Amino acid sequence: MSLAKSVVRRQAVKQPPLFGWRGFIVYTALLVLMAVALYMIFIYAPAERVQGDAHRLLYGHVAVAWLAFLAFGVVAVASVMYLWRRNPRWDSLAVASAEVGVLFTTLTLISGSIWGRHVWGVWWTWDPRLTTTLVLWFIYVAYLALRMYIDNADTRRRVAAIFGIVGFVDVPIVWYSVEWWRSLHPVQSVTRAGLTSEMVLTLVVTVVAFTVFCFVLIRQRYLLERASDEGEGLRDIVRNRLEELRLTGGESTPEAGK
Amino acid sequence: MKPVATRPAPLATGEPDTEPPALTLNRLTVGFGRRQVLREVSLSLNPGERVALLGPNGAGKTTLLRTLATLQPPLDGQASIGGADVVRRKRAARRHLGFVGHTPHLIGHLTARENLAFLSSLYGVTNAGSRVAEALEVVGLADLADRRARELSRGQLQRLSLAAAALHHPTVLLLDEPDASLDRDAVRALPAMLDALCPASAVLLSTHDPEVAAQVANRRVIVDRGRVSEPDSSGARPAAPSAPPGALSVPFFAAAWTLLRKDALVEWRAREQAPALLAFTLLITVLFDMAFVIPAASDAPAVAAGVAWATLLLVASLSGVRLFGSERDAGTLTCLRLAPIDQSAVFAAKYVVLATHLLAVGLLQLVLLSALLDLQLLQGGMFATLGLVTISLSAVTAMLSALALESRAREVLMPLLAVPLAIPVMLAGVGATLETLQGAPAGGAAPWFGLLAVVAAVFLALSVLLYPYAVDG
Repeated sequence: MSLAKSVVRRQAVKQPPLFGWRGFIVYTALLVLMAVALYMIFIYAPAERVQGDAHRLLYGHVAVAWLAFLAFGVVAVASVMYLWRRNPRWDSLAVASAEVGVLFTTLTLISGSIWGRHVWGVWWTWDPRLTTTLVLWFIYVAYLALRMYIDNADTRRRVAAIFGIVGFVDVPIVWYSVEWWRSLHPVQSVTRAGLTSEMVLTLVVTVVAFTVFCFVLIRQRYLLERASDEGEGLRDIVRNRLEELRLTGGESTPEAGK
Repeated sequence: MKPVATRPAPLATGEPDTEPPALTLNRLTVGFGRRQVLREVSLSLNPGERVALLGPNGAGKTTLLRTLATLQPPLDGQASIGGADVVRRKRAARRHLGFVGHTPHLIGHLTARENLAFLSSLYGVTNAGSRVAEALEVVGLADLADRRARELSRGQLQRLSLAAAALHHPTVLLLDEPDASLDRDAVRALPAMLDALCPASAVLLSTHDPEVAAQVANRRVIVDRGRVSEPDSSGARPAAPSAPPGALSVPFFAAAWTLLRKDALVEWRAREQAPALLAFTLLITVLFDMAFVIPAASDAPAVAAGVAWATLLLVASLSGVRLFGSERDAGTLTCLRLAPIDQSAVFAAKYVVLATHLLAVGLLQLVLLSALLDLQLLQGGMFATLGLVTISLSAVTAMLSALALESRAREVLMPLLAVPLAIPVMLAGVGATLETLQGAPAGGAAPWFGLLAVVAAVFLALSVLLYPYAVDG
């Protein structure tokens, strides 16, 4: 029956690329990179003079922090592209990046907090970097919440794209306001002097490993979003087709299921 | 069936053969998302023709009419009204369009006459006073002209909606189940009302009642099972009179001013926002003052700065929920979206409304805090700060209010969206206040006023650029 056929044909359109042999290569590379990075962080890199072993937290911390920012940049670009092109793929990319960005911001805040407790003696301080990261986290949590609350798919994509752009433009403003605000009550700043060459190398490897991890996550989340869109599309095709069959009394019209 | 001949003679003086159709549908498919409700509808209406879309409930009549009314995009195919495509040239199409929906898109706190006068201004109706009086007379509401719309009965509202939709002599008048709340006599009078209000308009009406279709229309189109068919298309179609001109284009500031006057009048009558917001301000200021117990004199400026701008931010997000939301809840948002005006005028008017609220709240707060904390807050620097904070906060919140319109649980969502984005505004406000009250700190003053001005400019530019995407898709 042509209904079943059209559904099957539709499903076979694309095999998600990260499940085949290419996926195997990417995942293996990621595992190896992560293992190397972990080895370098905990064994290869020497303990820092002042901070001792606590500084080992910073390698991952720096990596996730900059990747979170990169992910939010991707949200902004994808949002602009969506408003311009109206292709749902851009929206899928935006939501995938936003979720990964929020995850990485969360990791940044937690790792930074633990490090701060050991080195500064406090869990939290209103340092400009910390404050900006926290505000960033709030903005993109709001972005995800906004998406959750809008049912109509087209409206959701459009509205989220606008918020994604506004949120990103807000980031430098937040940064300057927070920095000037703190300048009224000066506190100790993070000094990054005294990095040995082993430490620099470790940092570079860690950043590379986490960057691959970040892109794999975004890609997987993107494919999931596309699959969910496709699924919704299939449901509509089946519904339209069933309606068509009911109306024509079973005679099939080939182009009707489009 | 109403004989065609009783209609006034066609106004056509030119060549009727070259007259373009008032309404053209070319393989139009309508629905939601990817779900098709009506497929490949092709139809054409000449000026002056009256066509009934006849079909059972749920056949897709309303979806079709809403698509033609530019309220939702079609899935496929084209439609044009008065020669203007309903997707690509929305504003032009709206000039030629009158729409009466299921629910009346009238403003409850305005009288029948004020409602029509308001719409006359938005549609650029010339000679509005006499046109409104005439329309009220025709639909039999002359006696109730000065009664507020919310006090009218369902059927009276329906007739007022008809007068409102026909006010600007639309090329096409779309009526969604006009018989739904009209009594038998009113339905029988409908053709005569149409004759008197807009004789040359093409009318497309939906109904499930064949009798109504026969009374009002001279062509019947059957909508059933996702398709549209015309059983007796061979019948003679009336000679096409000239299409009516439709609405005039209203300039941006005129439209914004009309909308602003409307909002001010509604607020004056309903008193929905101002008293509650002022009471909230009083309450929260006193609450903060109590919570800080009695601040030492040296801490007073810091407390004042924090309380003032944090409260203003809370009030802005609270007020933002209602800003566009009240229009939506009252059903009047559709009325604004149908108007052939630059939609940014709606934003401009709402922006001014919000800014006015925030200025009032801010001034009240400066007075209260001056008294509670024994400070001199009523001075130039504070007014400048208040002005700049208001400009920035209003831009952020007004835009978010428009964005959150289609979301569930707006009340919960608004603060979640507004507060993080507006944190720089609050911090800059605090900084500028301390600078004003304590003088510049030793390390040189941070450029707070500059930052506030930049934030205001950025948010205003963003909202002006992005608002059109927020409303019209």
